[in-house]
Amino acid sequence: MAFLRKIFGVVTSTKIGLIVMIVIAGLSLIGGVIPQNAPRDFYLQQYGPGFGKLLLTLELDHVFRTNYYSILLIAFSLMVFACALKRLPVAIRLARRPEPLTEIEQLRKQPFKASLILDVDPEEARLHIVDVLKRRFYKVATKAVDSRTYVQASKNAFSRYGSFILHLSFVLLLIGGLAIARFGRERIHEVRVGNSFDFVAARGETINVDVEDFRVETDNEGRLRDYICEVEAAGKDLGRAWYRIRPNHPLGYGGVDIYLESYEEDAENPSGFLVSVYDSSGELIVPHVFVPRDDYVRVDEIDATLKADVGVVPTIREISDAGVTTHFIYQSAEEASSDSLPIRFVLIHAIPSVIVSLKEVRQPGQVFIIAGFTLLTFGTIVSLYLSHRKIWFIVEPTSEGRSQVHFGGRSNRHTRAFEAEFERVKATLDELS
Amino acid sequence: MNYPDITLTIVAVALYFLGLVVIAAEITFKRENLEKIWQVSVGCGIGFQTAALVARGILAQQVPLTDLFEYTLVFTWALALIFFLLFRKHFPKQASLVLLITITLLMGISFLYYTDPKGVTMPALRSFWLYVHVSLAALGETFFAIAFVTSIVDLVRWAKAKDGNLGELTYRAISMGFPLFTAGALVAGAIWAKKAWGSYWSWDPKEVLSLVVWLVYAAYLHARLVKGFKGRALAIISIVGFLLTLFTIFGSLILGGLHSYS
Repeated sequence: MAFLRKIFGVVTSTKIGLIVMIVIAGLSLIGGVIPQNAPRDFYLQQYGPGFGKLLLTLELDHVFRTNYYSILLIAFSLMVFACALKRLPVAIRLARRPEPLTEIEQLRKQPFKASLILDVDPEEARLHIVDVLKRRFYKVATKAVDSRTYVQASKNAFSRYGSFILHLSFVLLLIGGLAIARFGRERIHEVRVGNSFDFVAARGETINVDVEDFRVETDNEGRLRDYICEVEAAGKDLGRAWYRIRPNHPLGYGGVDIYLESYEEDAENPSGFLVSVYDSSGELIVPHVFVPRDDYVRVDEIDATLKADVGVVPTIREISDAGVTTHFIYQSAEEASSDSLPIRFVLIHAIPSVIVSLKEVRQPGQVFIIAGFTLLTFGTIVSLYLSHRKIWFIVEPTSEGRSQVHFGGRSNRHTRAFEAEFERVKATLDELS
Repeated sequence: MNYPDITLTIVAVALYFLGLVVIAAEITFKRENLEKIWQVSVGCGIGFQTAALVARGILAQQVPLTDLFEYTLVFTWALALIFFLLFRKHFPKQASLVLLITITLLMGISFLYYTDPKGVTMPALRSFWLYVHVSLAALGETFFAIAFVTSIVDLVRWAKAKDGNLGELTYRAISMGFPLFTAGALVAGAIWAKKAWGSYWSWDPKEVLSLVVWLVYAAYLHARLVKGFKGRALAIISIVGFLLTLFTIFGSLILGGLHSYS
């Protein structure tokens, strides 16, 4: 038992905690400054054979993946957890409603104290004191013993739990981090627009994602605005749904998120052609029109395609190269019967096909992370912005039927702000004197 | 092209510089009647810097928080404004001088990173979380800068007279900045990172350096509130914390990573 107590004492030691924090900060700084996970030769060339070898021996080329860094983080979290446990009974004790102070001497020992004589009887004085305190959001309790009335009030008692909440948040973040590391999944799908891929959602449902389109949006002045990837997703429970995956807007379904990671143009395999359209007399009809690659037919394929597509899809009739500009003769199935043919198409440029990288991410520990972040924010705000304030009053009648009021108060922090509040309470009560 | 944002920023820097020259004269020649002059100068500087930010926002058609120049502009503006509104009356003249030197230097450095306000903003930066993450982090760092200034003055006083009395101001500034930095730099940053990149934490240099800054200020608060440290040791932690903060702000340009555009 004594041994366990000693261990608990070490684990909850603020001094050791500070040392661990400084070591983690130092290692993180090194990991932040030295490029991580580069090839071995990089370190030997960049830092010289001596220092480079030292970095590699100490595993400083991948600090955040080393066992010692993980052990430090786990040790730190355990220490934080132990501290939280240690602080909880203290926080509960301090947050309880203040014990009544029944002796005037006790009030005089408080950092802020005052005495007033009010021109009202003790009951009216009590009501007035309670009203003043309640308007300042104090929780008030009163007790009458013989001729004396005791009033005790406190505000922001829950701020005593701020430190506990803050420490608890680390434990939740650690659990979330471990769950993500152990059960999380990350996969990159490189998909050419027009193709599809599958992913498995949380309940085992297979979702097929068909990448229908990718485009780079620009504003009126040609400046980049957005990257948009349009997909159709289909699954047994999902049915069919259409999504736009953009930066900051992943596709989320069944515990899996699909992110647009990057895109790459494949000029070797054009998705289609941008062309100008001229009629048989050589007059420009349409300056720009997109001809999908599916409709592009080589000369030697004309007959077969025409047979297949007559009356349905426009089809390229003839292609020829002339210097830098490729031009080809085009005839739609519908127009094939009219007299105005052939229509000539002049190639402006080939439009490369696009391969998008979509990142599939599954992170099952998110609920702990979100709870941890909420408590971390709440804990820091409560423990640093709020102060636990207490004020005690003793009201007793004077021989002239008036009331003598003694009061004193304290605050665990922000003493200047409390002093100002104490003075305002005093000034308000003084109006009755 | 010469946009109004740069002209207004130059005027603001000139006014801050005038303010610091006047305070320096006030300290050197022990003249009390110069206080109004530097206060008017700094007040006008804040006005011009506000106008610069508004002009840049109108030109860029968004809140100016997307690159290093804009960040430094917002950071120094918040620093000047918070000093002027909250700390001016509590600051000794030496601290006001150090603060104006800090503002002027940072704004001078920011000119090196000036970008065309009508330039391209990366689609990844078009998010509500940009405003939460960057503005709260900048505000938190502003209070760390105030603490840095009081710590510097405190250290000098310790060296001269073995007595520094700005520890309470330093603590107040850090205790105001720490929750803002936690909520902005770490929490909002991680939530945005999840939305944008699919992961709360990527061990990116800027993320790691922010964690280091957070740990340093957490150490400061533990040392003061739990262990009851006072004096020079705390001032040194505060100074180290802000130097690391500056490294976090400017370091990503050297260190690269996911934050290399900011």
